[in-house]
Amino acid sequence: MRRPLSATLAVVLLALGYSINAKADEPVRVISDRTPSHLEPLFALYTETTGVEIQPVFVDEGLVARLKSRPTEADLVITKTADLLEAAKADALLQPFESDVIVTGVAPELRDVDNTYVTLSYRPRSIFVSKERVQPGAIATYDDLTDPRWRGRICIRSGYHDYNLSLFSQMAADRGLDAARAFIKGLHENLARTPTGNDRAQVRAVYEGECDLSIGNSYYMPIMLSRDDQRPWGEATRVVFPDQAGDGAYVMRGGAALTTATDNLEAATGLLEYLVSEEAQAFIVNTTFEYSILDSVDMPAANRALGAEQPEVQDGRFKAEFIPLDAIAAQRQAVVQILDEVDFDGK
Amino acid sequence: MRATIPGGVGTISAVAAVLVLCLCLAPFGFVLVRALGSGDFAALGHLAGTVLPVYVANSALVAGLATLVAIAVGVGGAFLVSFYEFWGRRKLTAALVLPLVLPPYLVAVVYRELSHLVALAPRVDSPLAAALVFALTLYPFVYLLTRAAFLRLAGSQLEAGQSLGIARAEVLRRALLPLAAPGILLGGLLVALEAISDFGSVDALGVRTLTTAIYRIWFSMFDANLAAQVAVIALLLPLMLVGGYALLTRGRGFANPTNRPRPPGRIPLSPRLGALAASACALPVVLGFGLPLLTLLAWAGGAFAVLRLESLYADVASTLLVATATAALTLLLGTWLAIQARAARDHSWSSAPLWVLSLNYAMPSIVLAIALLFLTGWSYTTELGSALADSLVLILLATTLRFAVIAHFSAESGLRSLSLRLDEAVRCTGRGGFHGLVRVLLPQLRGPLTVAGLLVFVMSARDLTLSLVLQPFGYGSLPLSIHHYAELDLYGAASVYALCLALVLLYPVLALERRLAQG
Repeated sequence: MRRPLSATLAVVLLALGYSINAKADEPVRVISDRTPSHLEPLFALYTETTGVEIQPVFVDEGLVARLKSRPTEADLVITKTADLLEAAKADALLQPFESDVIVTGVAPELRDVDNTYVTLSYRPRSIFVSKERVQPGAIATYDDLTDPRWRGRICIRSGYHDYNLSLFSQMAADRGLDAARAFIKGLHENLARTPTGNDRAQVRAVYEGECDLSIGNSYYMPIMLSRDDQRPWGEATRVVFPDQAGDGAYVMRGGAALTTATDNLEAATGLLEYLVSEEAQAFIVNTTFEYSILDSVDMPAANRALGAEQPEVQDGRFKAEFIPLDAIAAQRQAVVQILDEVDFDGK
Repeated sequence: MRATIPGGVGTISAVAAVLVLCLCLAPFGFVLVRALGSGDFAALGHLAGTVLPVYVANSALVAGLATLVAIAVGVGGAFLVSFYEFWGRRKLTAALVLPLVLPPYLVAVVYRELSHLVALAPRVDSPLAAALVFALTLYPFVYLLTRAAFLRLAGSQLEAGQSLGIARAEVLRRALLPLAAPGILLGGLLVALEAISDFGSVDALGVRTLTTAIYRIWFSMFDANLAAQVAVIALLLPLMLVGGYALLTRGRGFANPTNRPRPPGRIPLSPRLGALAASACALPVVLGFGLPLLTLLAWAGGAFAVLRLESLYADVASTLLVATATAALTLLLGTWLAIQARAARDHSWSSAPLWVLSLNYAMPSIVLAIALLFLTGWSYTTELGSALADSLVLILLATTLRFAVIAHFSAESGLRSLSLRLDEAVRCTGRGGFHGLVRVLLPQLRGPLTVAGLLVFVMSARDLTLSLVLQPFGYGSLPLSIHHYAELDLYGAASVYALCLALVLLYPVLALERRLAQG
């Protein structure tokens, strides 16, 4: 029994050594639900330019729960769903940034009113339509998705996924809860199958003929077209930016914010400023195929081809509607209850 | 009444044991306080009136069906390789455990993708499919424990039956199966608890269970109270199963693997029947291991070139570290508590550690992880606390709490088979309690503790949920990388990491099979 005991002690010491080593350089600590392979090269670029080390932890589930339980373990939070930042703000887990660079460089609709968080990039919640079975112009708005002629022809991922919760909540904030309820019910009645899989799985279902329309974020089209195994799915469909003749498409926003940690505030603000710089923005949009918050940053070539059949969309530039995130967050709970009532994931 | 036995040195140990058990109860206490503390059950009422019944039904259906199929496959396989001789039997005996080297969530992804690639393949996004995935990946638990019981008991039972002129089939039916029942039920219980607790597989297949509900309520609705209330409901089913197991096996005593096995003589089968038996044994191996493995190999083909090897090495190292440390820590904790329980003698006290530790295992991993996240959050405000939170200590605490019951159960049932006179004999030698523990008792437990250590190693190396929630900064592991790449639909890279995990687990899984067979 002595051997296991000493082995255990050795392991615990090793584990502690691991942490002490991690503490030594006081790098900027980042917590994120984004994909490591998207952010790590950007961090490496930043370190190379500035010499400031970045230590990340990638928590793609439970970001807010983790922030809540350890508010100061990270200096900066970066998320693919800025709705989460609003939830974190409501729990006093964030602090406003003091940065002229961000305030003057980023449009007000892309910042929190109190400068507690900033949008880093955005992408529209779009409609993917079958090239073969749906004529151009046959669907142009979110409301069209509730038209009975699409009965049994639409695929969507779980209604409770952050992307769909955000879409439905934006609609509730924009048009009222009753309109959102009618939309959710109408959409649910038109579903071809039980919501399952991610956004790309829905496009595959269109490709396989299980449905004619699906709902997904626009960047999946360039990603699918860049991959041998998924190119046929992308080639079988086209992206429609909804509501282009109206107020514009609802968008999902990625964002960043400072936590309440104060030890490394200056360096963390520096990194936040870098993320809204042209260099970082160009990197982000070319890696993720999302849309930049800076007009000066060119759109990736693959994005220019999206929405080509829509008269309102020129050179891939679409009209977006930015509903304030606090208004979206205020609807989230009610939207979940509607989803429960219609048993959205239960077809 | 407490007896002085080796290692159980009186009141101080007893108090320490009670304190440790209280600490082990902390996650459950946290969930209970969260669930009941607010006194607000309106949201739960809404859920109960809408989708909660679906979640409960799906959880019960998935776990129930997975357990039944796993028992059928596991007992059937163990029966064939233990009592009959046929071509390929030796290789199949070892091969039947191989599905344990693949994490169920990846097997679910494999079948989901194959269902799209193969024309006319059935759809897999149903509770039935999820149950089959669990059955195919978890049946080895049943197989291993049943086969060990057969090997230990069959020889003597069959001999006794023969001398009394009772037919072999009759002995099997009337004596052997009831005697092997505790092992079979324990294997079934492991399958059921793993299936109930799982998130990755059911999420990959789009099946809504209580675990997925807890995830979405906690992480998307940010309603910790409601999530805790659902977690308490989610705990009822596994606790009923643990209670049912305790009731069914009460007084039977789990036949422990330290007894020298007396393998039964195997009856040779005709070539035709032998081929049938071999096919029956090969089928679960092919479906739970062979087919997924081939798919992973095919996917991995193009991905090796783009991998960053240094991160792969680091992932392998941390996976090994966590699994090894968890095995060591659970053995220490489980054995120590078993010794304290033996010293207590009073049955109601001696079974307390088993119940407390079972609670942590029965709790869905996600609930345990979040409970620990919040319970240890305060420590982050101190220098030492943040150093601990930044280390692997939190993950190790979580894996140890979750899997300690396995080590404890093995140690406890091993100790139960040793006569209490042994303790008295040690005392008579006049040597200290520690000497008696190390020189006399522990060597007797080597068999069951090795088995438990290997089992904990395998299960903690495959763990995804605990490390996903509790990982420190800069941490990586094989399951985390598999999850990361699978989420991006990058199955090639995910496969490379999965194959590494399979390699890491191959030796422990085969050793587990050998160890149980040897006794």
